[in-house]
Amino acid sequence: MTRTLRWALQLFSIELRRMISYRASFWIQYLGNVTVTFLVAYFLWQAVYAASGKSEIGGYSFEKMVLYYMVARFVQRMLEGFDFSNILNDIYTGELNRCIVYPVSVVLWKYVTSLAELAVYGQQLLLSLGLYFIFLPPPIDAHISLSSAGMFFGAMLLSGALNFLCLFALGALAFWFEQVWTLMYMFRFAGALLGGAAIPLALFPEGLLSAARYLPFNVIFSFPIRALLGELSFSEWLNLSFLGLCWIAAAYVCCLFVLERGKRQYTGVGI
Amino acid sequence: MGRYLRLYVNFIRFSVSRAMEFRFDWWARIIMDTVYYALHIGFFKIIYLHTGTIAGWREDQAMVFIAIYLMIDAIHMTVISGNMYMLGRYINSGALDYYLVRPVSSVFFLTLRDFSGPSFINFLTTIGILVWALLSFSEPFGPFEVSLLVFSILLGSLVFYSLRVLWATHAFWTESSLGTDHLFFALTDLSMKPDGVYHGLFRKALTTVIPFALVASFPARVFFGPDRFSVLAHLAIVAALFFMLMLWVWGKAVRAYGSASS
Repeated sequence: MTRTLRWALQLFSIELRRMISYRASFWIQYLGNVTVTFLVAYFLWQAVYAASGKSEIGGYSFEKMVLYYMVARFVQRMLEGFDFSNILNDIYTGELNRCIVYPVSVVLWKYVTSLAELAVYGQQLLLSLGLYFIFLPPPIDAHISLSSAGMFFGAMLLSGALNFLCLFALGALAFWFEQVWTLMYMFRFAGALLGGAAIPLALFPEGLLSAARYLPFNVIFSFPIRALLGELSFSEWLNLSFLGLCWIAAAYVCCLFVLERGKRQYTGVGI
Repeated sequence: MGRYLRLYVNFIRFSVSRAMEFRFDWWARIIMDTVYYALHIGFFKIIYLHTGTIAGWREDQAMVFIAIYLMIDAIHMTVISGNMYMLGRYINSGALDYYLVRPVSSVFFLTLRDFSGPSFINFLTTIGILVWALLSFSEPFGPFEVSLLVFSILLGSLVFYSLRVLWATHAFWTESSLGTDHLFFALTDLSMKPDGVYHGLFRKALTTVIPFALVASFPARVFFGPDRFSVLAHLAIVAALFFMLMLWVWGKAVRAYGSASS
């Protein structure tokens, strides 16, 4: 157990250093994404609120809606940390050999790698929120506090794990098929709409909302965003955490199944 | 001209036969883009549950707008996306040398060589979405308006093509396009919303010097009227200027190419 924790920490630290070594690209992407997300959300929703004549839509004031999009963008960015091309490429190029021969779990190895990216983008979220609140007052209907930050942290861990496991299971289909990267985008597009990253779930029509509530996308995207904005009571947070754990268990079983069956197919390029 | 046309037909034949080798990828790309289209249509459908108009556009107008955007995106994915993805890698590895020495225009060869078969199927799907949006459109229109719409979609695509190539040329100097490619796609978010939502200097900039907002919105405005000819003239001028600027910058960029392999 201690030995596993030690190598996991070492791997995390190496991955963290690798990420921040490409500083220019890292900050260009960050600044560009933040600026465009803010501008698009600001102008679009300003037009929507002006046309509707309402001060609140789906329980969101204009200011909170803009903040929602900023947080949503960062949650998406943290989750993009697990770009499943790394499992694809490992299978196609034979890099998976080294994961298989080491006495460690392939799933855990890849998960720790993705955690490093999650941590870096998490820092960007903190920095952006800090800057946001320097220039703009916090919306009165958003209740960001220490407890909501704690709930966000817990939600983000579940969201990151579920997102990782789903993408890992999809990526491992590369044992059987060439070029499965499209599945990752399909998963992200579906998640953006049904998980509330593109538009808050509270704005959905009732029928669609009741279905979307139970999907894994709700846990992956909407859960951490709503937790940070102080929209969840503790019992709601517990319920969503339970839903998340159920999906994680299901996704983990799928991962192991696909990986074990896939290894039998694996030719191990370069052995 | 005939030679380039023959060459392009061969590009299509080779690209399609290569893509057909990966059957799973072929069908997955088609489904992926269908999900992408559903995301955008769903986004506007949900917003219109809460408001009657956005920046003066009704839901049926917004559907025509989004169909135009999806069509231009499909043209981009079919004709240039794969080429732009590879361009930065060719520059970075020095593989570009082999393309520059060929007796054909480098901009033509490097930006149009790869033709995506699955995305072409998606382009046909977007035609279906546009027909659906036009059939649901509540105002009368005829062949004249449709012809203007088709012409302005081509102009919007030309603006998008020029912007994409212009953006990619920085790799000739910086030798990498990895981080900035993501930034370009972040900027395309500005094209996905009606231009009327932007205002002030920002809107002026988005319809002239960084014309992301006119790519899909102006063809929609040309179709809706009433000031269609001034909008069309604006779109045509920006398209021509950006195309010429792209060719000029491309020439400079190729001359600045250092070649990593030689």
